[in-house]
Amino acid sequence: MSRPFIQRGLEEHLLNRRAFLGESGKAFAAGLGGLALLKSPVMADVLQRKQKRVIVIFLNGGASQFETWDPKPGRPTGGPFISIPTSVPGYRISELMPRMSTRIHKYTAVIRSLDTKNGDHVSTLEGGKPTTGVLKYPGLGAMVAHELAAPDSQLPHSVVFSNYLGQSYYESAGFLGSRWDPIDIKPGTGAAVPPFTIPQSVLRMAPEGLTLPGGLTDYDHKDRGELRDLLNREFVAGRGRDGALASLNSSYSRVRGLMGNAKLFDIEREPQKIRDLYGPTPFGKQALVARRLIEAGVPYVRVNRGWWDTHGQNFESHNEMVPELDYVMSVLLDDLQERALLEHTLVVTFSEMGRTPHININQGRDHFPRTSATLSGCGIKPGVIYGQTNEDGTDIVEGRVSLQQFFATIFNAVGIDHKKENVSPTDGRPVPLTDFGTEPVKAVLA
Amino acid sequence: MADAPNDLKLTKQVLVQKDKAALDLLSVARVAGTEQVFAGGNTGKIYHVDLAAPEPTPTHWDAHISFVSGLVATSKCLISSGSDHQLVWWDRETHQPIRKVEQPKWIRGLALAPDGGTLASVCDDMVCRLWETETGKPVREFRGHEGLTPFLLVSKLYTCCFSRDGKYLATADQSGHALVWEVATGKQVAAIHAPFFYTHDTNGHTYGGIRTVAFSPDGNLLALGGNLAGDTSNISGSKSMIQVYDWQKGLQTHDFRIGGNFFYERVCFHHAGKWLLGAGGAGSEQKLVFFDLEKNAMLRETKSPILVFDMAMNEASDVLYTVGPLGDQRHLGRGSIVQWKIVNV
Repeated sequence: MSRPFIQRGLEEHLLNRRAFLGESGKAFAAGLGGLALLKSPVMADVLQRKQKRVIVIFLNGGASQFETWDPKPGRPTGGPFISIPTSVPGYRISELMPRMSTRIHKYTAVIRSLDTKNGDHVSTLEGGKPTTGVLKYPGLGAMVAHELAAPDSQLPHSVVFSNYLGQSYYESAGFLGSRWDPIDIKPGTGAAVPPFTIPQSVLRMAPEGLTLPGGLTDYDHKDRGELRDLLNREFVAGRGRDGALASLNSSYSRVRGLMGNAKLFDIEREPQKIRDLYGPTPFGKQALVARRLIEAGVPYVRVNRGWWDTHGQNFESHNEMVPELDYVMSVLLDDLQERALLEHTLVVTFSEMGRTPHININQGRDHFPRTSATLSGCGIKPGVIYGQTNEDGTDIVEGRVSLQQFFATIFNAVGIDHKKENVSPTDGRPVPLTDFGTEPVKAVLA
Repeated sequence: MADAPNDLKLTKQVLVQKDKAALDLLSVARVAGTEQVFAGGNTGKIYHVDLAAPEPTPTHWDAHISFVSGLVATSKCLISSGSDHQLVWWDRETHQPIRKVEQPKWIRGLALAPDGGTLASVCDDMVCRLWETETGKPVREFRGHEGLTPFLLVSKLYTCCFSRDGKYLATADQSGHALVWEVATGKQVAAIHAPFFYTHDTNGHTYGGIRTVAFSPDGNLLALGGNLAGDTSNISGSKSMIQVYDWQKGLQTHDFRIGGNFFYERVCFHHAGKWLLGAGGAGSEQKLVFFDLEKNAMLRETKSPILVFDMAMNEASDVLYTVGPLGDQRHLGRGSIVQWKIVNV
């Protein structure tokens, strides 16, 4: 059952390397051989898939479905906000999202029935897989990057912002290997800014160390790299295949490539009107960096907005953060559309969980393993509202979607076969991208 | 000091609904000279109870789609505001709406002028509006609060109150700004920046704010209530805080960072200015806290059986009505109205 997928993956991999994605591949593709290969259905599929990208807008802490995509105004669980009509007849969302209300028919499918199973701050980004045990499962970013990245690319495979203090939700590449680990852009801790007494986050929009140390020229840096390569080659000679050495060499190469791409993280290079469009908040700036990275060919970027863990003052926090989500998400989708990137870029918005229907006495909502999520752009049928909760939002009554199904839907939207298997290097076992028997939510796929 | 609140007795406590469904009471109004009390719930219902009755029996009606955020009782009717953007005039007897006015956003609260002729509302569009209570006719708008917090997220205009003589109106927002307006002209006459009310934690939340304001009876002081900027305020609240300002001089006169870890949801002065009372609650901390401004000290604090989201006091400052949920952090709240006797000696 699984073997054909392994074979197909291997075939694609070889063809990728030789024909398309390296510098020599580009020349090859431009020649007759390349044209001939393009007639191959397999190669056409590969080429098409390699152009696909994924941006995840992750709402860490657990955003409330009631105050976003599945409002229940007038019900005891509804909270203070009213709902507004959207561009999809019959579908209403929170009044806090007026901009997205006019765009859903153009860009977005909404899943109101995501069952995360676990109502805790575990990383949903591993698709609900166990985080303990011998086999370390890769996160969404690593899996997407592994399938979509050009192997010889000097660009980062995946970039993750964890730009708020608190839990950072790092996405490990697990058994895929550290080469597929994301570049994690973390905040620093700064001094308290009076009158505040608490340390403030030092927000970063780029990885640390992208610039050379003082006194080291770019020429010197390249020269050292070449010397290192020479020594490495001699060291490796006669030692057979050594995965660790290969990985190390690859890492040096990627760092060098990343330094060459430092400009991608520099939003000062954008016209002022574009920077103004995305707005002054860290979340908006992250989204602009994400668009720049995607535009350059980075397959996976995750932006974060936190902290949605509103056990108290839920409505005040959502009143503040949902309008920002509405603004940044709509600006990003519009910009991708105007640049003709949205047809190749899937924008996913979700949280690790939802929030309880019941409102506690601190005007808070607690953890709840049912939530809403959205998929916009590439491979998605816009305007589809999938799944339904009951009138108080206490349970899903139609179209329950597991995390594995959600991931399978993401994979399919960008042309990845969710049944594809990767081989664990520890024990050689084939591990499918999603659990055996998982099916995507076909209703939301274009 | 004479008239110190030497004792505080809980005299009546009424659960406004029999079933155990979650209910928070967010606002309260008392009809002057009576013990007729109305309370607004987070279910959109308004509850009525006559606490003078031997066995007070609550009634209710559906008033708003969502939170009933403000209530005032005039001599003729009841006026409510909601997070559903509606300002509604009600016939107190029939519970039928007399008039509805829609506002752009969540209406956070109401204040009735001392003569009862006008009503002020504060809305999340950061505008305070003055209305004729008799006709519902708009009189004036007070604009001056910034729409964004210093962290560039949407702000909220939480609260307003009139001075005892009705000449001035104070409004306060999330960013720690309180403005004082001349009611007759709409002119802004003072601005107080109280930055410690503005909460920004390490996770990017920028809430907090001045949740309640009150003029002293002589009109010279303005008390602001809320909580101190903190790190975990989205969970349990950070340190409760009341600051008092001589608003005409722009000077802070008092700074009380005591009481507990909750928001002061309401402050009010003794009718002769003998003390200042702050009330609020979060989690298991739910308190009424009295302050002596002359001695710059806390006079007493009393644990409340409910979180206090709003309160009203009688003309003699010896009977207090508080509303909020009965419960603790692990359980759902049950909306309750509590009557207290304040023994001022």
